[in-house]
Amino acid sequence: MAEWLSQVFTGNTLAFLGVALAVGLAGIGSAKGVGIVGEAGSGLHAEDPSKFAQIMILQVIPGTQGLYGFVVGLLALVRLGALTGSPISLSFEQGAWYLMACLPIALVGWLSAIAQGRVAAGGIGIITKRPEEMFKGIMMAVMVEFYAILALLVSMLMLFNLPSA
Amino acid sequence: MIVPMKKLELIGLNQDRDRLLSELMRLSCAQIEEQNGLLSDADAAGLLSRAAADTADIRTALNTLKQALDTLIKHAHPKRGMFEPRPVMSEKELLDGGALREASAVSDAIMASQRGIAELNTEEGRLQNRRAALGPWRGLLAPLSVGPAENCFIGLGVCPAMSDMEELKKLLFVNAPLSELYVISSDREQHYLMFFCHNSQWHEAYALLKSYSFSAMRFKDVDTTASEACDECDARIEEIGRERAALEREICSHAGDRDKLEHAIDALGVCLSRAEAAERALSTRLCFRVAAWVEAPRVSDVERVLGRCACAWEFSEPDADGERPPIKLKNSKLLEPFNMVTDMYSPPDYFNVDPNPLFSFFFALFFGIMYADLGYGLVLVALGLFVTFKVKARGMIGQMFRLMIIVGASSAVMGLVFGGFFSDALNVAGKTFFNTDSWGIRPLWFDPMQDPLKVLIACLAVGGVQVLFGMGIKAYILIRDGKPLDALMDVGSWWLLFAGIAVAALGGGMWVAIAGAAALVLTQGRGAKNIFGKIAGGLGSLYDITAYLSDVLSYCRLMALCMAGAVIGSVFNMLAGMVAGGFIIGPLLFAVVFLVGHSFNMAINIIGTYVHAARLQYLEFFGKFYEGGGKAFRPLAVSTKYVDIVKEEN
Repeated sequence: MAEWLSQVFTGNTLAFLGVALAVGLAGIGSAKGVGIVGEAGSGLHAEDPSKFAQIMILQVIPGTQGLYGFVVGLLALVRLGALTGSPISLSFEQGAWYLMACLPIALVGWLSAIAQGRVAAGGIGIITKRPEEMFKGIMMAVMVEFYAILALLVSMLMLFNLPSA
Repeated sequence: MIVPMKKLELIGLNQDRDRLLSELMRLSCAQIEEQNGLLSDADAAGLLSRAAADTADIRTALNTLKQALDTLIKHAHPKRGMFEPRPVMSEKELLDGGALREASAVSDAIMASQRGIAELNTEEGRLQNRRAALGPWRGLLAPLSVGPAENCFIGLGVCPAMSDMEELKKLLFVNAPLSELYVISSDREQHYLMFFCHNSQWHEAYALLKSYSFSAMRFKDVDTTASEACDECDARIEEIGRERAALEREICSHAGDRDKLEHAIDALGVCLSRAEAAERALSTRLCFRVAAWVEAPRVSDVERVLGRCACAWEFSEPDADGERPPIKLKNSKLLEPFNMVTDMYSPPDYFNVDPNPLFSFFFALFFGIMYADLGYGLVLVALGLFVTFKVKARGMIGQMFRLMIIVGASSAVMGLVFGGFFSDALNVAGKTFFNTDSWGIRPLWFDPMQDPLKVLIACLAVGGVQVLFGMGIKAYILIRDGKPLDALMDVGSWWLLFAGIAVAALGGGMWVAIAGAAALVLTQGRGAKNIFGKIAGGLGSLYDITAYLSDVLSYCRLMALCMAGAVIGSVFNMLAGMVAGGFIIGPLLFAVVFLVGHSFNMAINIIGTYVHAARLQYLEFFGKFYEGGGKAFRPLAVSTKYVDIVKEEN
């Protein structure tokens, strides 16, 4: 058992696990967030198709976390040398560093996108009743984004300083 | 600057009312007020009544025009460029009666066609329902109006789809042999049946049918067969389609009249705001009375207009305890776009200060730090210049693009300071295509990615300066309003404490800081009634030091957004560099990834940057001195949506 575990959890697989989590969790969060706004938005769209542009702007806002996760994952892959076909070999500890570096955007991206989706779905209500106040709805949704940006930044700063190909 | 206002009370003859209001409208410097106070006064209310104006009629006409315009746009899709400037005309041309009549003829024609279309749609819906109801009976060759004969019951009906018809037929054969049941058709919900039965066995047969949930159906008004009736419906539906297309063509034939409708909407809008102002006047049989706020610098213009009519008026200064005058902010062209930021919070109280000259520098600086990139900044400037001078956008949108020029310039400068041009695009391009490391712009100060801590400290320092500046403005307001002692105690004590902390940090001893803290303890409880309250208030105020600390720490967002934008940008550059293999196709792919990536990065960052730059003003800066709650000045003016009005000199 122990031998099997040590074969599965090498430094490199830990690093790839980090990539998978960053892209996967942040992507799940964005998918959910964009979905929540889409549901709320299609109701309004059925009533008033001319509001499509405004609805779409609100809907794409929770999509950024998925992108942040993707950016972090991609950067990790590049630094691992995984895209050139000659990946570097990491010790168990170095692999764990990569995993940790990916965690901030994985976790914060996942949950903040859902929270942001809820706020943006509330913004759909603003478009329905007071379209001239729409920008404030956008502002409130963007407030949530800040924490995903912090997580992205910390993930990136860690990655920049890890051993790379 | 907050434009000073004066209250105008005006009494004139009813016959001059509309002319006077039109003249005031042309000046656009007076906001006509409601006079509810006067109406609730018993003596005055006996004499005065609300002036009659035809607002309801104008609104109805306006709504019809708007509906007609919507209908026209929906059907005819008249093409118009997004950045097409509005037509220019004089007020007289806009309000020309002939043009109005023409427009209302067009809108009547459009609305008549639209009503015709609505009627046809209703009829079509009805026919489709009928067709759906008749469809299952198409197999029946008898007319649907078939009914009981002399000795025999004949009828149509339905049973639910789950009842077994074969079984029913068998039971009928046993219990009522002189009956017959035909299944015309079946679908997922029902069986459609025709039923014959000799009158002598009607009761037995009917009881059986009932137990199978049979319900009878009559089609009294259909004396043809179902398939004939269906064909009739189809023919009519087809005809409706043709009639509707004709009506739509009719509407589309007015596509060229879009301008007429839009001008009429603007003209009626002008009439409506004048009528609404007239409605706020109070009148007796002969005279009317109007109350208004007038911009103080324009008082002489107003007096010149009033002097031409037989009327009496009086101007008075606003009173700090009375009604608050509306707020108009007047600033130089450079500062004017920042109104947008102030308006989103709240216009200032009339007796507070105009915040625009105070925060605009910080706003531009913060935006620049967070968006710091020479390339991005130049793109913003170009976009802002284009919309401002080519499209001539007005109002909020116009302000937004003028603001974009300023913050874009600031971002470009900060991009030079931190050495960013589309992030590290030049380095990547140099490395990819020319295999050299020597490309890229050298930062005037330093590269944030090399020393994030230095950025953080710089940002907190800038924040500290803004917080201290905000406190200084509070001191200024207190001194201006004749409370210099409050300024000394509320702001001076804190400054002393901050100075003391700085002295202590530089190794100069604790005494200044202790003096500052003591000053706070001694002065901040002075509002309380007894000595315990005073001491508690004084000690409690020391706790506010955490509020100042968190205010300053809040400026770390400058560093976070500054670096995040650069990092995402550099990842897109890296991606572009990776796909750029090959001789000719390489640079092409590089350009595509570069364009898509950076457009995206610019778009997501610009909103976040605006929000955070504004937030720092609203919470950290305005919190120190600002009192909002002012109502924006809405003068009686010629305001138009679709045309630009040129002023006529008279």
